[in-house]
Amino acid sequence: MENNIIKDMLESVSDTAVFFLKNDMQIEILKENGIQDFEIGEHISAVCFSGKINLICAVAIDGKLLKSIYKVFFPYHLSPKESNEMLKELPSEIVNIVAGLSISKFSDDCGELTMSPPFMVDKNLLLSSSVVSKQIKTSKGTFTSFMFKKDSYANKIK
Amino acid sequence: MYNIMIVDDSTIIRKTLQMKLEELGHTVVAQAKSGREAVTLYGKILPDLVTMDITMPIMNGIEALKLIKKSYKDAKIIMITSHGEEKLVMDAILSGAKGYILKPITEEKLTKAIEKVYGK
Repeated sequence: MENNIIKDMLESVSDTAVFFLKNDMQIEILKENGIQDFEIGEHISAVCFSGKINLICAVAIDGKLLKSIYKVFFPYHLSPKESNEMLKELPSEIVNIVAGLSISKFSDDCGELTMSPPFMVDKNLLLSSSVVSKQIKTSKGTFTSFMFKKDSYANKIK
Repeated sequence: MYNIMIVDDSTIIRKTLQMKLEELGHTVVAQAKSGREAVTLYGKILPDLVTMDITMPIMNGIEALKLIKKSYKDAKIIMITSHGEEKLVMDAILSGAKGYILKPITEEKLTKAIEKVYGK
């Protein structure tokens, strides 16, 4: 039952990510399912959903895709140093938007959920077998959404 | 055109809002990184309008909104959120927010929200 809820929530997050990438960031979606060459992007950020069920929702974004999102998200000229600082912060803003907009789509089974500010998670944690994931392939690189129970990994989250 | 204070813990969102608001002809008179900082700054600056993030560490946007409205009942505050959860937005509106903008932020959304505050 709980595993089904987690999978449903992951679907909602991934659907919202597709909408965000395609409609808001004008990035072409190539494939949403059945991607053979599964690789996790290097830019990772997560939020925690708390309530009836306590989950971590993370996203991992390829470097090239992140730069493409940045160009649309922040179309202003900055010094290279400032741009790098913005780029580092962008995955946190993306997970905040995608996870936040997904909350209203979660089923009634989840009850009322609150969402934490974004934080870092280790890439190795996302490779665990109990972490469910869904990958989106775009013309600029891959975007992966992850969902897992907070309790199992509480001591490993930064 | 208005004097606006931006409240958001994210540098990229503060910078995005600043650029977009200035392009629309407004002046960004102050920026705060937390709800607590916003409450302190508001009384010193007395901006025409505040854009307030909801999810922030230390003190969230709804708590800051309530504290500012308690001392300055005419304060005009627009909430910025990525939360699709209606209850949270309703809580902000019932606490005195003049409107809200769902991220990602666009100039169109900002213009509409500001016009709504000033009844245009």
